Order: sequence, then C-alpha cells, then structure tokens
Amino acid sequence: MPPGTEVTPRPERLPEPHRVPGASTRSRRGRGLFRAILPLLALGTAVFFAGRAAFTGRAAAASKLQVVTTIETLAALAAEVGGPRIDVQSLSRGYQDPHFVPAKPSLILTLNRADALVYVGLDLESGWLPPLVQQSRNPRIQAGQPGNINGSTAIRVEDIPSVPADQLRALGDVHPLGNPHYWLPPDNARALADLMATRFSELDPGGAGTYQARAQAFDAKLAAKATEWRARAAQLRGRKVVTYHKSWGYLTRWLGLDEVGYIEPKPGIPPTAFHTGELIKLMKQAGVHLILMENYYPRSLADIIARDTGARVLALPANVGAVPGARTYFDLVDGIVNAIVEAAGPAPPSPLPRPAAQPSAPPGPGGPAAKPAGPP
Amino acid sequence: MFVEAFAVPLLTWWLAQQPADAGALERAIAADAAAGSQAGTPGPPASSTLEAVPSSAQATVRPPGGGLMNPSMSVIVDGTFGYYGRHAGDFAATGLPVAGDDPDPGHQGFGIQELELAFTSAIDPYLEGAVFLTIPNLGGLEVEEAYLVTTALPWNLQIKAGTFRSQLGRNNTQHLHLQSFTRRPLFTALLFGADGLRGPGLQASVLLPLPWFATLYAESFAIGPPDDLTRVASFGGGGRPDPAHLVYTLVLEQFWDLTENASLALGLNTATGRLFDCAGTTPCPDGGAHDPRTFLSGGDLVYRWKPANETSTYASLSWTTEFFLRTITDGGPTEGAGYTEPVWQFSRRWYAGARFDLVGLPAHENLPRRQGFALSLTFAPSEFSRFRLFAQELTGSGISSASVLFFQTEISMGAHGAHPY
Repeated sequence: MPPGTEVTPRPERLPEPHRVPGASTRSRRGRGLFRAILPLLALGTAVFFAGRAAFTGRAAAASKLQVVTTIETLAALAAEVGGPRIDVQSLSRGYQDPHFVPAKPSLILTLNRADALVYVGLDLESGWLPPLVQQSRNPRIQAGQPGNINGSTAIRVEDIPSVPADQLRALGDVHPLGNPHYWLPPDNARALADLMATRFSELDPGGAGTYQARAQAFDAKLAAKATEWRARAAQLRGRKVVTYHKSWGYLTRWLGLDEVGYIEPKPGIPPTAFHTGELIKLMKQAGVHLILMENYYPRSLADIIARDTGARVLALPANVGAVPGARTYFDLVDGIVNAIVEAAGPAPPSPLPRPAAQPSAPPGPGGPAAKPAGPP
Repeated sequence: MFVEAFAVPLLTWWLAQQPADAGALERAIAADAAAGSQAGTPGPPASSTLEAVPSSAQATVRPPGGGLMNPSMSVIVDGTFGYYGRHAGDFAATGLPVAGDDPDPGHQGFGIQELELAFTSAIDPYLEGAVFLTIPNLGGLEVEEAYLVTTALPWNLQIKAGTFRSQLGRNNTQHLHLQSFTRRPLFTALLFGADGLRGPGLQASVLLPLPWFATLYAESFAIGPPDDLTRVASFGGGGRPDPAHLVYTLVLEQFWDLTENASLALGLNTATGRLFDCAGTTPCPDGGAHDPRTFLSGGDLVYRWKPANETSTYASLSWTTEFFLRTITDGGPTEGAGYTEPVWQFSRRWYAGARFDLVGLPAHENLPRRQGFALSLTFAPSEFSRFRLFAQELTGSGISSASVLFFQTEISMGAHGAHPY
C-alpha cells in the first residue's frame, strides 16, 4: 500500500512485507514468474510434441480396425463379423450389470484409441458412457460419426412405456426409449451382425468383402442353430415364469414363455416384504415354476421364494463371459436354452379345474389382449 | 421433535422395505398390515407386481410440449435442516468461513442449500455445451458453470471455454451434490475461494500418450475480488485486464487400475495468481495492483475399491485425500490445509462417511490451526434421491469447539448426465 494510507488496526496481522519505497517491483516479480513457469512450459511443449509423434506413429502401425463395445456379447458378435481384420475389446465384463459399470478413466484411454464404438443404446449405458465418450478426445466415435454404432437402430424395440415423461420415474428406473436387453434372440443377433458388417465396411472399405462374407456365414450358422433351439424349446410354449429384473422380455417372447411377475416391485427398486408376499401368492395361483435372473443379482431372496412356491431358480448368464462356458454368442444362448428346458421339465399334464382364472395382467390402456387369460 | 413425530410410520415403512428372509417375511407382512390400517401412513403401492406395459406400443415418450430439440435438463433440489454451533457465537469464534454452497449460517434451521438447474446438449459435431445455474441458500441466481467443450480436436486435445470450475484438486471440480457430506471441506473457502476456484476462463488439456491414463490441463481464469472483503483471498486480481493478473493453473491427473476392483487416482496441481488483500484498508484499492503473487500447489489422491460385479456385494470404498499449500511471495507466509475422507458403502442404499479436516499446516494468521471431524450417514433410496445426516465438530487451540449438525435431502429431476468418475 502507498505510504500514508489509513490503516484500520486489525489484530493478528503480520507486519507489512518490506518494500523499498519508490523502487519498481514489477520487473522483479515478472522475472520471478517467468523463471517459475519456464520449466513447466518447456516440459509441456516437449510432452505435446512427443505425444503428437507417438500418436501419428501408432495410427500408422495399427492396420486393424480398432473396435470397442460396451458389453461382451456385442464384442463376441463383432469378432464373428470382423474376424482377423479387427481388434475388439469390451468396456465391461460379462458378469457386470451393464447399467452400472464404473466409468473409470482407464476406459477413456481405450475409447481414445477406438475406430468404432458399438453400444446397446436405449439409455442402457447412459449412467456411465457419455462422459467417457466426451472426454475420449476421439472425433471418430462421437455421436453421428460413422464410428458411433448404436445397436438399437437395427432391432425392433419393445416395451416402450406410454406415460408422460415427467411421470416416468414413478415407475422405477424405466428406460423411456424401450427395453434395452435385446441381444439374446437370434433375430436380433442377426440384425446386429448385419449392422456391424455394413458399418465396418464403411470404416474399412478394403475389408468390405471379408465382413459381408463373415456376416453371411454367421447368419447361416445362426439360422441352423435357431431352428435347433426352437425345436428344443417347443415344450416351453406358454410356461409361466417370474424374473428378477424386467430384462428378459425379448428372450421370453422368443421362447414363448409368459412373464407373470417380477421380484423387483419396480425396475431398480429392491424387493420389499409386501411385494414378495404378493408375488408368492401369485406364483402359487398361476402355477409358476421357474424364476429367471441374471447371475449378478443376489440369490438369497429368489431362493426363499423358490422354497415357498416349489419353483426353481435359474441364475443365468445374460452376456458372453458371464460364466466361463459362455465364450461365444452360440455358447451363451445354448447354455440359456438348455438350462431353461432342463429346469422346466416336461410339459405339465392338463391342469385341474381352478377357481375363476385371474387375468394375468390388470386391465389398463392397451389391455391384456395379447396375453391368454387362463392356463396355457 | 420431528424424530418422534415421524418415527412410527418411518419405522413401519422401513420394516416393509427390508429384504425379506423367511421369519422376517412373516413379521414384516404382519407389521405392514397393522400399519396399513393407520391413516396417513405411506403404504407401498398396490398391484405393483404386474406391470401392464403394452409391448410395441406406438406411443413413445416425449417431454410435455414435444421439446425434441431441447437440451437435457435437470433440476436438483438440496434442502437442509440444522445448525452451526449449539450456542450462539460458537461457530463464529472458530474464525472459519463457510463455502458459498454450505448451508447459510445467517439463516439456520430449515433452508434450501442449493437449487441447481442443469442444461447439457451437443451444439454441433464439434462442440458440446453445458450450463449450470445455481441458487445457493435461496439467495439469488448464480452461474455455477456455463461452457463449451470441444469433442473433435486432433492430437488428443480438448478445449473448454466459458465460466467453469477449475480442475485444481478434486473437491473443487465437483458440484455440491456429488459430495457425500453436507459441507465443503474447510480449506475450500480459505484457499480456493468461497465458491471454489471457478470463474470465466479457458482450459486446454491433452491426453498424454502413456500406457496409463494421464491428462495435463492448463487453465487461465479471471477471478475478481471476493464477496467477503475482510479476508485474504488467494486470487482476486482479475479485475485488471492484463495477463499478470490472471490466474494460471497446471494440473496433471493420472489414474491406475490396481486390480479389477481397486484403482488409484493422483492429481498434481499448481496455480498462481495475485493475492487479494483488502483487509483493513478503506477505501479498498481497486484491483490490488501492488498485491503480491501467490502460488497454490498441492496434490489429491483418490483410492477406490468397488467389486466389478456391483450387484452381488453392494459394498464399496472411496477414500479421497487432498492437501494444498499457499505461498504468498514478497515475504508472505506459507500456509497449508487439507482433508482426508473415507466413504464406505456398506449396503445397497447406505453410505457412511468420515472427514478429517486439518487447517493450518503450517499455520499463520490467515490460516489458524483448526481441526474438523465430520461424520455422515447417507441413505439413497434410488439414484435420484438421497437423505443424509451430517455432524461435524470444529476444534482449535484457544477456541471452544463448535458442533455442526445437519439433516439433508437431495432430489434430482430430469436427465442429469453421468458425472465424471
């Protein structure tokens, strides 16, 4: 402060720093600042140019298409289509719940080096993927770019809720754009494989022939397996099941199973005593003998319900890599179909007469017209 | 008082929400049936077992008014009930300032600690934009952040421009609702500024070509004088339009996956600017032309443990530690402060946190030696709501200790984007 300024005494103040009256302090401080910043500037510049050189070098060396997917099943399908022309990795592991993958910065590194990002969409990954993509500093995989591949654009989306958006959360953690757990049925797997073949061909025109040929081979093998699965699962038509989370809709529709209830009272809401009691009553009335759940959910409650109702709990892999035996898409669906067929047992004999059958869904807009209101 | 009034229905509701086991199932169903006959008890929704959601419905969800081109919008409401210090003057005697988004000590009891409005959107193929407006303690609209960020620059670069929170440290980068505690760490208002280090500026960052995640940020801000003129502020000379009065920061963030479940993040930070020291001078000189340069440097370390298969164990640990030293040149003091906070998730919806603040290491007159011991217990029924109990004891030599106690509720509406890890 210039000499002569009024100073209101304030306790606990250090004495004024020593200043030589009249001397210019600006050039001394300026030099000090420069000396402090210079090594940092030099370091920053060196790092920048080293990074640029390394980056350009790596891009030239990597001739394979770098594909990153969000779930392992998409990675398995990408591997079927891409074969030796691509390097594919998945951001999450098969035994993880794909809604809740920790958005670790190491995943940013993976996305930074990707040529293509294949994801499920329908807001399945909205809890963790968007900031990773935004921070990836990779223009190739941003929304709208050829490297940004949204799997849900290829399939027919089901379970789209019809409530006003501002009431949606009251239904629990419902996906407003539709049910994203679509990757199991063969129709959807074929659609995904075809989508990837088309988009990989755009990104890597030299490999277009390979991608199309491999996709066709996959489709052929898939058609054969689908017939086999349909035959094996014929006895499952009309069987009633209960699932933990509302994520098995596409599979149950494909196999002809009837979902009558869920262990979660609403998606994302943990089971409550009241709801579980109601569910047990319903299962006994409707004759439900199967509980399907992903193997990453806690089993204890499902086991209690099973004991009470005589049902069987199937903790199934929902993704490639969820169990050691599910290394490819075919292994995964084989395992699921076999497990359900084996647990369901032979078709039940004609049922005994029951009291007036409860409708399997409460009447509402759109009504239960699609579901049979009685025994299968 | 409110505890007794709400205890019975809360307890019955809590019982009904517990995951069922064989014997508890019977008891809870009986308790719920009894409670259901009392008027006013919030019972569980009826007939929720069977969701009659029509498949392949042509009706899709649109926001009211058909706002197809609207940005993602969300609103976060953060309310508190509590007090600073059991006796009047306890808290003021500690000499510690409150952060801008801490509950207001001038209006204790019920308060809305923060109301945040967030808008995020892609601008075009090259830019994303975000605007965060905040009303802290029902006292006027502030701009927390409003910036654009590039998404398509080459060479792993990214530029952020607008007004935003600096990348310095860890707590400084976080909006209030990301914390597991009701109050900011004690060093925020002392070293970073009442609202943290945030203001209009420019940030350039590069993802370094290393096998592990490492990003280097360089920022520059124009930070003006603080609201509280009785205190020294680390940076406040931004009122003058020359480069020597801007704040410059350099931050190196690194991240390592130790195992599939555990990770470590280390930040090395340094910032420099002009001290703002108007205490005791009337009239307050404009811009602090003669104020010395300050350097604020420190580190932050975050250890996280979370099993990869989250839903099987519902347990996690997050331990954050930060420490910063401020040096005032021209013979000024070197003062430091920091904190460490472990947060332990012990159940699907429950989190327990502890925070130890240490101010004044070394201590000088701007930063007296103070300790803060805080505990928090958070219940999160879903990702979109939280209820928290926060208790803090502030002690120091020569002062009587002050107790701080708050009950906090947070709700989030709309599509708030995912937060950084």
